[in-house]
Amino acid sequence: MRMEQPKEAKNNRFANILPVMRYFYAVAWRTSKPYFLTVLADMLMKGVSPFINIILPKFLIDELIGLRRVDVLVWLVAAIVLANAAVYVLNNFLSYFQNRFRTPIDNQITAMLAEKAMNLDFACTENAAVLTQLEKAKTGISWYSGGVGGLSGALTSVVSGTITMLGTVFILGMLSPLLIALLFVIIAGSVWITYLSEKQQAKFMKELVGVNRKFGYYFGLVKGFQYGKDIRLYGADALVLDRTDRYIREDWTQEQGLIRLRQKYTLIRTGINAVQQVLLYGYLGLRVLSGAIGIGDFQMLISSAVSFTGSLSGLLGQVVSLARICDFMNDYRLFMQYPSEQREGTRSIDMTAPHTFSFRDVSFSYPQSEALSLKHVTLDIPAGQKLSIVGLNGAGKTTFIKLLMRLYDPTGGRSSWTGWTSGSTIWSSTANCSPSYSRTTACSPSPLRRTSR
Amino acid sequence: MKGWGSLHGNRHTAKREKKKEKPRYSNFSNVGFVLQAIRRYDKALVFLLIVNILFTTMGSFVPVVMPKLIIDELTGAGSPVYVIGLSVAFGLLLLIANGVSQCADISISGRFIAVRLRLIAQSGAKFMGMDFQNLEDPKVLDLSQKADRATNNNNEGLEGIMHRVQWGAGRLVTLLSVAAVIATLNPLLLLAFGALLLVNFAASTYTRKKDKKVWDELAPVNRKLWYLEQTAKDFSYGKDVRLFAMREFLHGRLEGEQRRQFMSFVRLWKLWLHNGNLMAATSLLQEVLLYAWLCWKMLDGAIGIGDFTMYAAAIRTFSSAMGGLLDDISAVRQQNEVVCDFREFLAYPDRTQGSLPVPDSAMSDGLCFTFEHVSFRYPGQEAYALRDVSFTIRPGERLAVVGLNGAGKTTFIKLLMRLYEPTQGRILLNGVDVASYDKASYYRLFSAVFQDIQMFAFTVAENVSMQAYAATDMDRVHASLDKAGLADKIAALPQGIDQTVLKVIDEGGVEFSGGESQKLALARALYKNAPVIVLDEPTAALDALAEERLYRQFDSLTRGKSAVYISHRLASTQFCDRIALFEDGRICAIGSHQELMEKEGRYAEIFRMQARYYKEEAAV
Repeated sequence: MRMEQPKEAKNNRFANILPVMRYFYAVAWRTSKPYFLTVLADMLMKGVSPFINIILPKFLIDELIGLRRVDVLVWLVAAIVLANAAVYVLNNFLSYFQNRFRTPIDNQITAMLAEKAMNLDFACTENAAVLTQLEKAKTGISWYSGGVGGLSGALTSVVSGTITMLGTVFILGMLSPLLIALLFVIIAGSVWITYLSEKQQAKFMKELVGVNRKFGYYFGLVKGFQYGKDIRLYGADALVLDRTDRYIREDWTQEQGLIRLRQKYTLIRTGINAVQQVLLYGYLGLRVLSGAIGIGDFQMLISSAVSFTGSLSGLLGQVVSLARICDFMNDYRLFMQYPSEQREGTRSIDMTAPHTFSFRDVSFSYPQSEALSLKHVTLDIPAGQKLSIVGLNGAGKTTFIKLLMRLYDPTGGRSSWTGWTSGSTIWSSTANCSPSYSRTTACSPSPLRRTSR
Repeated sequence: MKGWGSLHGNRHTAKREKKKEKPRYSNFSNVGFVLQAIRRYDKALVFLLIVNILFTTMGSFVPVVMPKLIIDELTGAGSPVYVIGLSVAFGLLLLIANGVSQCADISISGRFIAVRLRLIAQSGAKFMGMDFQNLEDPKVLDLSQKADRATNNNNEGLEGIMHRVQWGAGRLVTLLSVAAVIATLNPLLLLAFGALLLVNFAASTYTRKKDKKVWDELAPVNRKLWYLEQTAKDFSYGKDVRLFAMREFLHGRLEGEQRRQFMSFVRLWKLWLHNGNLMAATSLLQEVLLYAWLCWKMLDGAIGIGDFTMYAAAIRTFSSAMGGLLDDISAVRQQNEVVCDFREFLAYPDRTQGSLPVPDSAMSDGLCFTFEHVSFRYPGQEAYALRDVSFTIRPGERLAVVGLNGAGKTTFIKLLMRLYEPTQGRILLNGVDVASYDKASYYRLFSAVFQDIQMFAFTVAENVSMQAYAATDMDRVHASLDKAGLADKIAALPQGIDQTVLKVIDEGGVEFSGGESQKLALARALYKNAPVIVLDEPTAALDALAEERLYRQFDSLTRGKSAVYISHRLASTQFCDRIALFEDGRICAIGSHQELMEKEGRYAEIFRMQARYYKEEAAV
């Protein structure tokens, strides 16, 4: 049986989002339905709650500079304060229930992976690619993505960010549509700058990979227990310290390049931010003076605009991070696609009858290799026989045993057995077999050797 | 199953007892240590930190004050020119404050990393300067590893403290200046807010303590879970899992432990839920106080709407700075443990040293080492590895040290080379106790090749000389490589002796085979050209005949020097002047091969036994 590598995802960085969400939310649906309620509530809360502090203070301010009715003021203050407190408490409960309903899903995902690893077709467990995929699945589902919690968190950011953005657009559009256009220009500028800076930083980061490898080596060297003798006897500590010192200076030169780059883009971004503040306060201030809006509106629009730019420019980053999380979690999904143990054959074995194992012209080659590991083996193992299998490394001893136990099935020929008793013993070894068990069938008798070690 | 559980239980309690130890350095002392390191390694960093703190404070003041001025203008005189002017000033001030503080911050973060690397190097220098004996002491290795946790990332340990000190100082300055502004209007309000924050802090501390308790209780469950998950996912257990049908069993255990973990988690979440709700209550109280007071003042006519917004913003700045500061403080406290480990490691004693250099006359007179009733016990062990050994290595002698594994051969030569110090007894060099010699100068006496040959990711030349490039004698490198039989291999490398060894640093680096590594190690010993040669079974992978060939070859290369050859194969050292057979930490026979065979003692017995296998081996 040849192993098929599970299909790789398309090269699009967003391609994994939908399949991954479908896969994991299906598991979640089977395991813990209330979880969906908590996630939806969370999205709504995070999307809507900013508006409490955008809208309500407007009325407070208007009342304070306008009619100044004490009872209305008390009501307004109570509304603001209580609404904020309610959001706070609701958030607490939401995170409590999210934990509570999400953990069974996390546990289920962990258990499924463990189950799958134990259930894999045995040939897969000796395949390096599968092992690598298992490692990727393990890290992909835990640290790198945060699991279902991480996925939902990223999704919540995207949805709630969209809600906030749409709400603020509505407010701005009602009172000062021109501002939206202004802010768009500013946001476009800052997104462009972020893009440029990320691109250039990515280049640096690539160079830093080599630097990090050196870091690992040199600092493993100074504290490497195994080098202790040589470093002392050959007086090499000066050489080693010279090298770490040189590394630190090299690293610092690299780091300085990165620092200058970051400073440059930070200055540009701070500049854009300052321009935004000038435009906001200047433009809205003039609108107040022209009588188009009141002071309350002025405050509200400023809060809305800040919220709007924040949510819109954050949105892109959140979608990217959602895609990254899905990429990591996709490794889990890919691992789960490997074939499970083949259990064809339906007959059960009568454990009481005497048995004979027979190999008839059995040949075998491992899935990844062309060469035959066993070639036309024909052999009977009668009931109660003690069999010793000897031979040099790579002669096929272990393969033979694996076939006997059906961890693998023959690629050619046929093995069969009749019955079973507990009496038979099989020994397989390069050298250490004890002569008392030998009724040697293969290769030449091997002498006892190497008493020590 | 019971045994398994209790095993983990024991380890668990042992760990907890250890946790109860008092911290060895105070928080203040640790912050002081970090600041000193910053000052020592990077003076410019101190200046940058001050700049960063000042401009951060400015950055939190500008958005508090400027909107007030603008609103005052809007509700007062209402001059468009002033409004525009103030807006522009607002933008400029923001640009200056944030631009400077953020640029400084970026530079500071980079420099913090460099300081951390210097601290790692400092800890590495410490490690290399320690007695070798300590390197085999589990307690010291454990401490060294724990110390590494203080320097292994950007957000915790020493660098974590650096960041927290930076942020904490910035917040403290902001806090004090905002507090001064608020206090001019109403110090009582300030007091009330401070009190509320302290309540929050106390509650968090309490919750965190409880949280830790639950985690401690959970530790055995987590360990079992971890073990079960690892086992299930470990393919090397694949055969056993399948043949012994362990799937259902493991799966059942996993689910059971998951359930237990979940129950504890629910307790934790409830704990934090309560804590969160208390926070909500105090924040409600704070907001009520704030708005009530501000509204009352406004109705009273004491402040305008501009002041209203300013004070609201000021108090929020105050709260967030205070909350941040408390967070910084608790973070610094959290790092205390690992920083203590780090400092304790640095404070560990250096090499035990004699101060005398080994006199040059010793070299020309010939070296005579005498063991006087030397016993040795590994740190933390009851049994002696070497017992009451007394004998002399004569100048120019070729000595073989033989014996079965664990007989004390390697311990013996480590004592000879002063990698270990005797537990009892003393070692004399030409009549002088070697403990009185400076270690570095004593180490110059030995050219040693060990079983585990270490290659370094330096150039070939540096691997031979073990000195920096500038201090390396290239002709001698060539000569040594030539004698060791590695010259052709090196000549075939694109960069010759300047080629880097290993692929870790340089992807074009050369990887030597086992045999080549051995030759390189010989070249290293030849380059050093020390008066005493020590070969500690560098040939374990070879058969006895090849080993003997190698020993003889080496012997001919080092004529006239004292040499100690170690082997567990008696056949390979027959050519030596004297053979010392070690058994159970003692020398049980000593003499030439001829003499020992004639004695018909233990030596002859082992020799014959081994010889039989070699014959068979040779026959195969």
